[in-house]
Amino acid sequence: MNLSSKTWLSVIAWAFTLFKLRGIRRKDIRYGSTALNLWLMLFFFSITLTFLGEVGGFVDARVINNLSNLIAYPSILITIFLATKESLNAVDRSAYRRTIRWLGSLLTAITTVLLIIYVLFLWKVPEFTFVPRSIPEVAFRFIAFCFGAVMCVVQAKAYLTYYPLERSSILRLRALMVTLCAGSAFLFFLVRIAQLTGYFWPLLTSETLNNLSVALLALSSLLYFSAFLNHEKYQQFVRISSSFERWRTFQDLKYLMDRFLRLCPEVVSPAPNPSFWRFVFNPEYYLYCMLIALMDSGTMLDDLTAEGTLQRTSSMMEENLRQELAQLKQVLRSIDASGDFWKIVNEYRYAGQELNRISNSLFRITEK
Amino acid sequence: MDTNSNALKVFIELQYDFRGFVIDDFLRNVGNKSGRQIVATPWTMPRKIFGAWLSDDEEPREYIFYRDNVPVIHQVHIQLHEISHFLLRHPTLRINQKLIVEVLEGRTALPFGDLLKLRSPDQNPSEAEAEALADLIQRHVIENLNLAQLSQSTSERTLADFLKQIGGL
Repeated sequence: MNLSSKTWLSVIAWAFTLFKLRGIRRKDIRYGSTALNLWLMLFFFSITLTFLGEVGGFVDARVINNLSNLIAYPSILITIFLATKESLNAVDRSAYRRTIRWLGSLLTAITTVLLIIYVLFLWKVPEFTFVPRSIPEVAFRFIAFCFGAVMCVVQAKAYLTYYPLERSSILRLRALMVTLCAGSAFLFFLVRIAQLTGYFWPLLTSETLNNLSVALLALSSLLYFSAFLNHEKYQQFVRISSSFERWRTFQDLKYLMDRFLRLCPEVVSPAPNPSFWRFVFNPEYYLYCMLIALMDSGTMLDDLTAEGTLQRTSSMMEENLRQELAQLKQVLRSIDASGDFWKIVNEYRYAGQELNRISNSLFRITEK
Repeated sequence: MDTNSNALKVFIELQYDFRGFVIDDFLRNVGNKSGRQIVATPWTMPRKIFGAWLSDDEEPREYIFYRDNVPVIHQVHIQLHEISHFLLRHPTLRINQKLIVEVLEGRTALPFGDLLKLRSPDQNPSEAEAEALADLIQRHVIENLNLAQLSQSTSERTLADFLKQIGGL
């Protein structure tokens, strides 16, 4: 990634940070609430991206050597610390109190150490390149990257424990996004630590490693922004993505309905027949309508059979159609329509698949 | 006024909050607004009839009968269809207390035979209109319940709240 794309990332970050500022109330500032910490995460992340980009180079050239790094490195550590702290607080404040205190103390200590290294050495050395050129530079980066990586692991662990317990698909997606972001940031730190060893083993100064670290930084940034997206956006995404699977379910139900139409059209209630794109925007509704149409048709089939009306019709049917009708009735009888909506939909879906399977196997036998 | 626009007009007049929809509450709400008591009863219906709406000639009361041998989800759908007939002010059969007592004592049957058979919108404009209104109601129920369901429940309440807060900031 060239410098201008880093700058673009920082512009997006600042736009996001300013946009989210409207969610902060005066009481959030006074009491240091979670909302404020969330916003501060965005703020420090924007500072990090800004000083890693062209602005950093400008400041270093005109003010003092490596000042941008002194600002950017602690900023990213503060960002990750706030994210980890708030996540652990949310999981179980009492259980993680000690961990949070430790991480807070470490952050203070490490920031102080970085400052000392800077004051003693780094302001005198040339601007950082991706392969370090002095021991203080290695130490400065190594300390920051290790602490960043540790906090990412702590955060990801908390979400991985929570993930299987969550039943809401939206919140699972949100948790997954945060976990992926922490995972990607962890990999970024690992790659950067590997790069540092290039100071001792020049073999590790490969350009590929540098490109990989930049790609991971971009990926982490995008995941980070995604994690902050509005809850409604996640709802829409989950809806549309789950619609693809539901469309397949709808096709299985439609197969059952087509069987009704083929074998006993007199019992069939009107059923919806939406296009895929129409279905995608309201899948539950179409599934519901199809389910009711199937239930109507099944009930009518039972009524006509009990009345004897259908038997008169079926006596005139060809043998293979009569056999198909018997299969349809058998499959319908196996459906357990108690339970919640999705359980019933699944029952009908399996019935449709089962009928399809039986018909296909019969067809193969007839062909032989 | 065509079928769908009449159904839409009645639906808008309902002004019902569909979040957390429950059929009993919905029927009670309709009853309160219309000044009629809505009595919904599962019933062993004659063949080819899913449900029926009868009006009490003496008391401010409407009776909805629905099949007792179909799944609950189907029963709710039938009740919505029948209450839609009432909301659309369609004509129906009128019964009285004497008939109800006789039915309960098993001396006579409810006059379902005089009602339209088959809940098929193709058969009668009023059936199509009732189905259109029931459809509107279902659409809103599903939209509202679905959104609630998608955001619902977790064992780790606080972390879920935190994740929501990230999105809500």
